[in-house]
Amino acid sequence: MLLQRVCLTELRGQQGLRPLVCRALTTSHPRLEVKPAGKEHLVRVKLNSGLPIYTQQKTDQDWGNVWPAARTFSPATVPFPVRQGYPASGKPTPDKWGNAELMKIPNFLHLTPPVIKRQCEALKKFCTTWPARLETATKQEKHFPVTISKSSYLHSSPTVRDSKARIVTLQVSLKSLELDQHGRDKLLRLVGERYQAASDRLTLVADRCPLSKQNYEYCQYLMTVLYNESVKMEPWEHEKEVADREKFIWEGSPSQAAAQTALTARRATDAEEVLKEYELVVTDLHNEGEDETTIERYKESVMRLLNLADPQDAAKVAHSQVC
Amino acid sequence: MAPTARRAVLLLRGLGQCGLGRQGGCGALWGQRWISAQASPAPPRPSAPRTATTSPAQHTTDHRGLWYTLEQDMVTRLFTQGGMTKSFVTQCRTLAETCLMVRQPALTMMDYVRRTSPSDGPDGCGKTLALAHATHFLAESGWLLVHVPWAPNWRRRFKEVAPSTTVEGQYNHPLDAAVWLQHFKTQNAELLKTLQLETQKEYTWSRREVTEVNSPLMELVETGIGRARYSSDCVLALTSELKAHAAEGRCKVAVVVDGINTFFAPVSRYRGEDRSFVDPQHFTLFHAFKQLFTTDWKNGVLVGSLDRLANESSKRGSHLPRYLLRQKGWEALDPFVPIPVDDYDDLEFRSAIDYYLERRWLQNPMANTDMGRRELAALSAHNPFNLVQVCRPL
Repeated sequence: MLLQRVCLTELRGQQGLRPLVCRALTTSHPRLEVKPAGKEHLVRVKLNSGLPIYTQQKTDQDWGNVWPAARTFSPATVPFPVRQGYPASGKPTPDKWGNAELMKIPNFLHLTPPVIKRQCEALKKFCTTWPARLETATKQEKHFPVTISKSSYLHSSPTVRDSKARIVTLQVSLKSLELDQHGRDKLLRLVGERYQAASDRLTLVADRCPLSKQNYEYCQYLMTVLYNESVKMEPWEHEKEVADREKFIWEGSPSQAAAQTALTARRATDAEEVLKEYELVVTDLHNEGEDETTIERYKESVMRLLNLADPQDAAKVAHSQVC
Repeated sequence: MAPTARRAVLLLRGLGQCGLGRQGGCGALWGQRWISAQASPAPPRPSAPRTATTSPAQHTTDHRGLWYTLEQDMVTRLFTQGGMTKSFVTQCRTLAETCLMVRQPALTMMDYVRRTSPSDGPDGCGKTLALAHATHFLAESGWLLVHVPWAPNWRRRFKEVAPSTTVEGQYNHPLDAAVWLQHFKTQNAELLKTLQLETQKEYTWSRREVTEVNSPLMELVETGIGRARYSSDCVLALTSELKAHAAEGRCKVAVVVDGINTFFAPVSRYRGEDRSFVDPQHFTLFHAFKQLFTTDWKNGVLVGSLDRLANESSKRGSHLPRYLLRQKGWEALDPFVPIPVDDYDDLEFRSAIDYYLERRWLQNPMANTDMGRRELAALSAHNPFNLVQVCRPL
């Protein structure tokens, strides 16, 4: 009896030190089993249950069942060695045991490819089929130019509300608004940063009201006002002068008049073609900025406009191209 | 003139640093080299590649890189009042002759004039001398020259500016305009005698001084030279008369302007009555010449150079025409044929070194060696103005 009690006391002492013992066992001699004298059965069970669980896992087990949901990293369950953190001087990077760095970062061990596949399969029965004739992005944009997006959140917390659920985003492609040049220019000035040139889309984000419904309605209102303001021509807009233009416009420019005069003066036969090319070159030079190349192109264009091009030069160029 | 080409600036900066350690900069550097190379004597002095064709009208691309001499009386006639840079005039006096290299931009320009325009380029590439070459050509080909040697002077280094007595709000340059009229007279006196141009309007300067209708144009010029008070109005009258005569086919007028972009700069250095800087658009002289830039007349040609230095200091970022001319200048001059004036190419560079060696502007015999030439090319970055500067102490 006395002996038994002593054993139990020892065991209690061992239980307090269990993590340390386990660690020593797993790291130094994973196969070593401690067998104290007497009460063999009891001791073995206790110690086996203290071994890291991954030592008992089978290689063909279903990982989705072991790690079914998002969870803090646990070194005993994760079967592979992994290291993380800043190494102490002359030491290797800390391993997974008792590693706070590994526990801090979010992991995706619950989202392995087979699990995702299984979850998708499970969700499939709730999905409807994709509408026919809406396969391409252009078709989708044509028939559904407006995209409204918002997020719903589900928590296991005392409240079911999430403040992020109120945010509503409205996206619309500018092409679908069918604005003229003035309207488009005005809209772009009004929306500023909310326009994405690469996708030609306008993004409005509303989060000022507490409910998503209110924010959605606010988006609708904003879009309506923006459109109507863009279409409207205010009386002061006619005061915009040439210097206020953001781009060079060929129609009605002094360059156009001068080129026309030059062509009329020399009674050119190919006036249309030369003028068209000259228009392109001059517009490019003003809008894209000048450099040696654009100036050279401008020069060539002027030479044709003023009929200064030497027929011998042209022949030479043609000859060199043939060569 | 500061070098604009970034390449040139970088190379020169490098030179300055290494030159500081050895007294006297690159001159000392060359001296040391020369002493060490005394054992192997330098090749004999070459003779400059020259052309006997002194008439620019006969210059073709075959003459490119060759030097031609301007006769002294032609220089006196065309460039007494400017038209060549001051440093070039000094150099010509030193070398005892006025020689120009036949270069591509001038050839192109003359070709276009023959076939019937402004040029642009970084500083020190020879825009002014390309214009001088073209001026010589135009003068020989019987064009009436309206030559503005360096227009920015009227905007910032004027002798005197006075409010106009004839037009409210305008300003005159009494002395500068008189000097220009003298320049016009020197350039075109002989031609005007043969052309027999007469005034088409009556000009009343004061109660006593009147230029009648059908009086010779030279009388208008003489009035301006004699009475500086009316000189700016005389220039305005003269340019209007010339424009009308050319449009009616009695003469052909070549307008040559160095630094044409200065006509579109928004500030001058003259302070008006309210102590603010006057817009040069109010200068009578600018009016007089700007009316020649329009396309509403014929029998004329406009040759101009676009120069960074002709702009105010805040607008010298690029040597390209749209930047230098601004919106207004572009609208006034469009369409024009831009002729880029670049640094020397290898042929021209070799020719320039040969010329300086022949005229003993380059005294150091090592300049004639391959190594010396390459060093000069690196130091000057092939820029004509830099080359002269680099050669100065050698």
